[in-house]
Amino acid sequence: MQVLNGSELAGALTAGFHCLQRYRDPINALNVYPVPDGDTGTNMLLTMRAGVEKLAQSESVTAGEVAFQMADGTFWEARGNSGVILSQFFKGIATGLEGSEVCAGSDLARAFRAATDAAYKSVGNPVEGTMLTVIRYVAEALESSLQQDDNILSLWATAYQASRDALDATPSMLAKLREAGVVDAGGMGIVVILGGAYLHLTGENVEDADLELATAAGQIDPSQLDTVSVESDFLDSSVESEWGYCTQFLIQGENLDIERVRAELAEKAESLVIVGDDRFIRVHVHMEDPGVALTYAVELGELDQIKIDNMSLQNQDWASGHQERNTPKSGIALVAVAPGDGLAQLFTDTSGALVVSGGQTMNPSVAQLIGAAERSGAEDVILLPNNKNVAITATQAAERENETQRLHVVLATTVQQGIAAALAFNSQAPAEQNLQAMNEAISEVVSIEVTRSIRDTTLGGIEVSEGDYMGLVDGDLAVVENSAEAALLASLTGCELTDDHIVTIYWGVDTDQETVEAVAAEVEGQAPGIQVDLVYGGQPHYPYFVSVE
Amino acid sequence: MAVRIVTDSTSDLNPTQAQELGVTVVPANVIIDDVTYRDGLDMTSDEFYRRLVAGPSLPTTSQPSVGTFQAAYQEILDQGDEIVSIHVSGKLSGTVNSAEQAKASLGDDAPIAVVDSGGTSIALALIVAAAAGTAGQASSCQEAAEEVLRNLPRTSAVFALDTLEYLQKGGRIGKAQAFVGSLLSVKPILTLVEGEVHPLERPRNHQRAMRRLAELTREKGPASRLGIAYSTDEAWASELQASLADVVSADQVMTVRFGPALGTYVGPRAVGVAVTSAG
Repeated sequence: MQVLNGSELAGALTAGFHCLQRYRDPINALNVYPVPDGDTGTNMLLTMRAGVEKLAQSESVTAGEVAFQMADGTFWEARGNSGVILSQFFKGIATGLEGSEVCAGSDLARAFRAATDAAYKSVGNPVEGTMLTVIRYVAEALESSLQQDDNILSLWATAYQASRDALDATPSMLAKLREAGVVDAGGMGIVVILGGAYLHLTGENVEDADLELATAAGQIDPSQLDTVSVESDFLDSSVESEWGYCTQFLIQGENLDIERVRAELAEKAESLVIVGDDRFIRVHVHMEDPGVALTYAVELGELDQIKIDNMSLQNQDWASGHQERNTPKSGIALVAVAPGDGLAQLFTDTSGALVVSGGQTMNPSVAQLIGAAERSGAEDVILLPNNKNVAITATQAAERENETQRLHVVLATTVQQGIAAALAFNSQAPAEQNLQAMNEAISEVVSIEVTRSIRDTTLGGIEVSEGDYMGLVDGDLAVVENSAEAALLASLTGCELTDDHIVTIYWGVDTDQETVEAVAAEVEGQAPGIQVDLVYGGQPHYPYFVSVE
Repeated sequence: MAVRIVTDSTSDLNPTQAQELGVTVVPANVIIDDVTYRDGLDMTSDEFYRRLVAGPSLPTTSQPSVGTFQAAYQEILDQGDEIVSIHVSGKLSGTVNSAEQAKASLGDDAPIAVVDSGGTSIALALIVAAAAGTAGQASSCQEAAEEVLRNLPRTSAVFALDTLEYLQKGGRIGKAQAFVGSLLSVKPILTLVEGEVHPLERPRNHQRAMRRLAELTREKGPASRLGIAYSTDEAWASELQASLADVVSADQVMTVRFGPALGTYVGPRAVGVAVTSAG
């Protein structure tokens, strides 16, 4: 991919917006500078949404036009410190791409340079370690790479990587971030937009993206807010401070002098971000008395879009959200990995387990398991991996040091073992007793899995052809048949069933109830009086999971 | 003067058993379709369970009234005797309150000692039977009550229910809430801890539940008495007794049927085993 045409650029920016949407809450939670008021993610998102909506309504064809619509849309709806800077970032991009049919590598570099200039200029007193730094790093990386490589896709990868490097460096530049143990929130917003666009350009899905961003406390899972934490000393001291009012408005007038407005407001306010031209000026300031800024500005022209937020109250909300997530935990809970809606429901129903989706071909991450454990709010959490491949991840998760929680693993390597363990779980009993009872329950289960071979192969001396149904008993290939039902029945034959056994059949997403009931009748025929329970599991790839106990 | 024992109908002692023990049973009330029945007196258990299963209206229960207690106490006091009044756990019922109020209404120095057994049903029955056996040697109701309290920890019970539905609808599920779940059929085993319903295990079917009841009972160590309770299936009680035949001799086993008040919560097809440990 040498260049991006207008619609490709629009698609990338829209994907960036969707990724920002996914990261909104974590970005809010990280927001400590200049004011820990927890709205950076929301402000950037709402600002960018205006641009994306404008884009969707327009019939922009060229890259230059696309960039113009983004800049125009974001300017009119820009909110908050970071939102206004973001709108200027897009204004710079638009300046760099003005008149360009497509966006080539050199255009991208020029656009980021212009974006850097516009972003720095919008701020009264530029501070390093913020989103400004992240934008500047990207511009510099693009300029130095351009000589060797003008492929737009690899340049975008360069830009994204540079933004990540800059984000990681923000705590070393800004003391407040270090104190709080976080990276810069606005900077993360830029990384997320570039990352989402990059995923889109490489054909990947943005909906459930995890960019594997991290703070001092560890990796952030965007779907789990408790993976974002702020130092508790910082939280405590933040609520003791007075933060004043975030005051924003638009001045509409004639022959406005933006430099003069900047200079005069700089004497009265903090955190100035002032942008615009001689007809419209958008003002964002932090003041103890918002009236002072309004009184000053009303002399210059019409005021519109007046928005005043009490940042002390916002800070309290933000801090209490963090503190709630940090509160000491009690009790005991289960976290189970399950590969299907029915099985997930079963774990929740029988044991109140928090379920992380996953299984044979979709392993959850350590962060996902830890996140679910955190969400449980329990002091002791027992992890049930329910798959051989997930067992390692669960063990790693349990080995992570954690001050507020003890993580244990009961090594269920099949879903069937997991269900037996979940039934043996008793939230009213101590952890040690549960671990013993659950491990014992697992040892009493024989697990049968029926699946279809996707290739010709030989397993444990048995020849298998593509399309054959295999019956695995406790992980070992036992039978090969030409239907799932035959494989299931043949596997059960080896178990020497008696009427004292209980057979539970968890049927998969591609199996229908009628077929399952017919199979159950045959099993009952093998051992009259036996209990056969049927449960919808909803798992993919495996028509049947069966337990014999 | 003698010390006499009073209990309530959740002990599930039938009139014959009560008479043999010399114990007065004050009935709780069971209300079905706005009609109040005295537990164990006004409706047979067979009739009760038939109506419980047929539905749709669920029975409710209420503790014996203060007046009922007053009358029962007065009759005993009139004979110059003292009373130890032993009842269902205060965490499950307000019966102990009614008893205390009745006692207070009879004067500060009325020789009545009210004891919260922390249990109910067959466990309460074993506690009451033991108290009836030793009350004769006590010189006062206080002394007898102290003996009862000392012995309370020796008696415990486990119950296997067919469903938690009745316990939940009746609002007595307590900590066994953790076992509520409907996707897999299980036969929950429960006990009482500090007077409250507490979950223990979830075997997958009746046979395994019966086996576990016997095993859990044996795990308590040497026993002096056993009690067995059932709601609808007397054969299961016999089966449990047979499987525990080596634990105590047959004359040390008491069997009761969950009466309507208890049946409101345990439902049909419930069984329980209580054990009083030796020494």
